[in-house]
Amino acid sequence: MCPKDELISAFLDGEVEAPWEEKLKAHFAECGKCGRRLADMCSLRSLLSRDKEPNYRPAMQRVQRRLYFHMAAAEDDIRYQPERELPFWKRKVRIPMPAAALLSLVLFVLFASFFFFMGQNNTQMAKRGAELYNSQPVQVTVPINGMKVDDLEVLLKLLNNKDFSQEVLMQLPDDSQFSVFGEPEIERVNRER
Amino acid sequence: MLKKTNDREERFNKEYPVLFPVIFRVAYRITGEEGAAEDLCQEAFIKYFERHEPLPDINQAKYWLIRVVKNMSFNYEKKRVREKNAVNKLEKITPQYIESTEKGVLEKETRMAVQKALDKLPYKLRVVLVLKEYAQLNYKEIGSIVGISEGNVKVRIFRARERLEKIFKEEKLYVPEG
Repeated sequence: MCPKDELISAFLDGEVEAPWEEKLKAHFAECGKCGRRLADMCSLRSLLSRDKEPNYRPAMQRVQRRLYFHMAAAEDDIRYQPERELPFWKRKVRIPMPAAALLSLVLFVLFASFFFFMGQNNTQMAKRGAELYNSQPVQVTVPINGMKVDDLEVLLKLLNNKDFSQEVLMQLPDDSQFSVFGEPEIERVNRER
Repeated sequence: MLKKTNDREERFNKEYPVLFPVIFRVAYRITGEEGAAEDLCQEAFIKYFERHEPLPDINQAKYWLIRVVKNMSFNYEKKRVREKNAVNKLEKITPQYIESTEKGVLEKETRMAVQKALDKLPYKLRVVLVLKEYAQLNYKEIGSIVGISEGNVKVRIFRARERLEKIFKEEKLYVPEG
């Protein structure tokens, strides 16, 4: 029984296992039809292999040059890759240790002197406020009966009284200073008036 | 890093002269065009030398490169079919213009008769036959590169031969060996 053409093709490629290979060889020697079929396939293979091919050498040299260039460029990219631009809050700052120590010391002195002078200023302001209060007592005028109240206790009692619903004009000392603690509304109104 | 660079250069100088002829041959036989084969080879070698992990031996490198060229040639084939269809459409619209340009292209083309016949094969059949006849790979290797079984490789190679015989007979190119 003759083998299929598919098997003859596989035989030509050396892809038939050992026991079958020998049997096929024997068959090709006996069967003229299968022998010719194998010869045709051999001829086809021969034709394919004899076909002239373009000379690969010029292409090989051109590609080689381009590959060298490509590899060199890739290495340069790796070597001289510029650092990616980071947003400023992610950037690292390198300060030499002596400079960092000096900077820390300067900052510490600045903070310390600031709090020291602030403390002194506050004490002075408190003293000055107390002097002002003592020297220039608050003057309050109740316009209905023209009564002048310079006692703070009396004034507070008047203000706390539920029945008290009259307009009261408070006169602050002329040289009062609140700039350290901000300008109180009452002073601003007084100044504008 | 310098050592790595030197290793790569050494590997390149050793492997390139051995691998290029095989890869070029396969690329040329699949695409049928010298320029396309050169481009595909260049792309494949760039990919190969950019691999982080080098392949264990030169044979593995050859299979890897053939696989890459085969995949890239498939994209090339699709592009060529699209262009061919576009030319056919244009031919219907402006036959005279196409005739003159096609004549110019044909004058430049120096394809061999066998290559022309190979070009007429469907891509699936052409690839396996080229890998068998021009890369001397066995069925197992071809199956692994193309992603099909050995049985399928056997069938495709046979069908490719059958078709080629038919083409050669039709064009009276079939010259039996004496």
